[in-house]
Amino acid sequence: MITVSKKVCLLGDFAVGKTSLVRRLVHSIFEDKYLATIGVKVSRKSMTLSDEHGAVEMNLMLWDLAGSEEFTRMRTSYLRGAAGAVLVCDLTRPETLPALNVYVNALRDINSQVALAIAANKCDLEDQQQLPRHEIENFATNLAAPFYLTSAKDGTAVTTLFEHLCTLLLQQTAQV
Amino acid sequence: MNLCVEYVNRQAERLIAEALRYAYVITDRALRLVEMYDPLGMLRIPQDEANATFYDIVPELIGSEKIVEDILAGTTSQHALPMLNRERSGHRVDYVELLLLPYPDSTGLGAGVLCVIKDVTEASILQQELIQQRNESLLLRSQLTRHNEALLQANAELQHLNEMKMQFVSVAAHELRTPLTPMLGFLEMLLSDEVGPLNELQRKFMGIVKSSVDRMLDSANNLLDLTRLQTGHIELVLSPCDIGALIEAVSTQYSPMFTAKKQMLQTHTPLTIPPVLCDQERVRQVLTNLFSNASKYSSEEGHIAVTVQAAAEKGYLQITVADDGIGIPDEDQAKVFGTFFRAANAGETGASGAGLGLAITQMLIEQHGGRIWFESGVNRGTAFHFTLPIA
Repeated sequence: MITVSKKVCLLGDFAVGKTSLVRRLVHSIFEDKYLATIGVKVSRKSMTLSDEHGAVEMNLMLWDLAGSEEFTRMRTSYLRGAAGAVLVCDLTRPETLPALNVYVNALRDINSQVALAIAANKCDLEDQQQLPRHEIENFATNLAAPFYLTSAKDGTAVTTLFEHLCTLLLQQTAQV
Repeated sequence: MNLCVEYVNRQAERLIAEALRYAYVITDRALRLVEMYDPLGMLRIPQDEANATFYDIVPELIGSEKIVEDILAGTTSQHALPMLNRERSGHRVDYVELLLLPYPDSTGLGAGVLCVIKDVTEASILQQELIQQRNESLLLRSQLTRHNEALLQANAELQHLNEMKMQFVSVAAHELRTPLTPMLGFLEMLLSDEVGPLNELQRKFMGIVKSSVDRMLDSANNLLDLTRLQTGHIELVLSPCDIGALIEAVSTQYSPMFTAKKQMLQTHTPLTIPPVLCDQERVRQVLTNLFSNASKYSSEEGHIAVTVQAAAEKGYLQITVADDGIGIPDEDQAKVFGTFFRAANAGETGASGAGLGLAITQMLIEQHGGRIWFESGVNRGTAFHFTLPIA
């Protein structure tokens, strides 16, 4: 089986749930308490994909980047070498969606071919939703990126989103 | 001698490493481990150390092979990764700074990679705590802003509904009042025998009808006044007014009401009082409401006293209308100036009312710049005080 290693960054404002998404994907756990990430935390997740050529093991190196503005200066060195990114916004905080543009621009300055997927997170908080679906759809369409309504708390669409991103990364590898 | 120098150098190096908290790894061009220096146990040592590669020791760089290749090729002079989190057991996190440099051979060409790792946990934990607190405050502020916006929106909707209600009440009151005026006129003509004499029973019945029409007209007028006051559509026509004379005029006008219940009305007005600045018709309405309440909620042969004196506030006169009637229960006192409110014991004297008079009275007094308050106790009577500005 072929093994492909890719660096994937998780980007978005503070407290949107980037660390929780990684913990859900890698360890299948969730903690309600918010713990601010500073700097970057790298985790590894292997996912097996199948296509017409057979099975491929994707070795994802997940770079969970701090969302706080203090780390803007450091972001460039964290983003170097990224093949893909998950852009994370918080469905209960509408301002976190347009804020993703800054991260997209920073990413594309480094790698114009970067594969993107959008996680509109916290879909379990149904009574607190502030972000209309059409706004996320428009944003995703402009970036030509898939989007998923995710919940790191109950796991909704988390694995599906990363599998979709893996497919995009494989297509990207095949093109190269 | 050489061995001794080497030993001293190693000890010095160890002390420096402990003070600066750093470690390093040197590899060859194939990224095989050549040398490793880790006095503080910061690196991840693979089991098969002899065959270990650079990525076994620094796994964070898996997937970033291009950067390492660039360092080896000399196209990148260095690559720094500040504040790399490394999870330890028990939720502990270590923070390290990682610096990748080309490791030159004796000719100065890149023979491998040098990776320097520095432990910055202590300072980073402090920074994490600061950022945690700041972010939690920002989240709270954002939550409060959203709640505030929701409340403002709900308030705007309520105001809109209130305006619609006021408009409806105003139209309804106007429509009710319009036919009452000719009804009252014709009733008065009938009662004054202008169109022929009435027998005793007819006069009695006509009297009951007129009394009911009077009450309906009073209620319709009160509703109209209330909506106008609440929507700010009543403009006062202010002029200097002899309040003593106005009290006397209203007392005289309503003396039949007091006489019917054998009640005694006494006025205490100082001989020389300055004029007040007011809308005479509206103050007449205030006095009428207070006199009417005093009479309605007092028993037969009760006493009602009206007093004028200088108010505690400089530049104001205080007018008091006091009775020795049934009083207002303590639990109702906070609601007395509310609309459509009647005290629990209001029905004891058989008096009717919609509960609008005092609400209108308060609004009128406040529109004049004065204030109104009362003292009362069950079966100890009630004294209403209000102030008006001196002209």
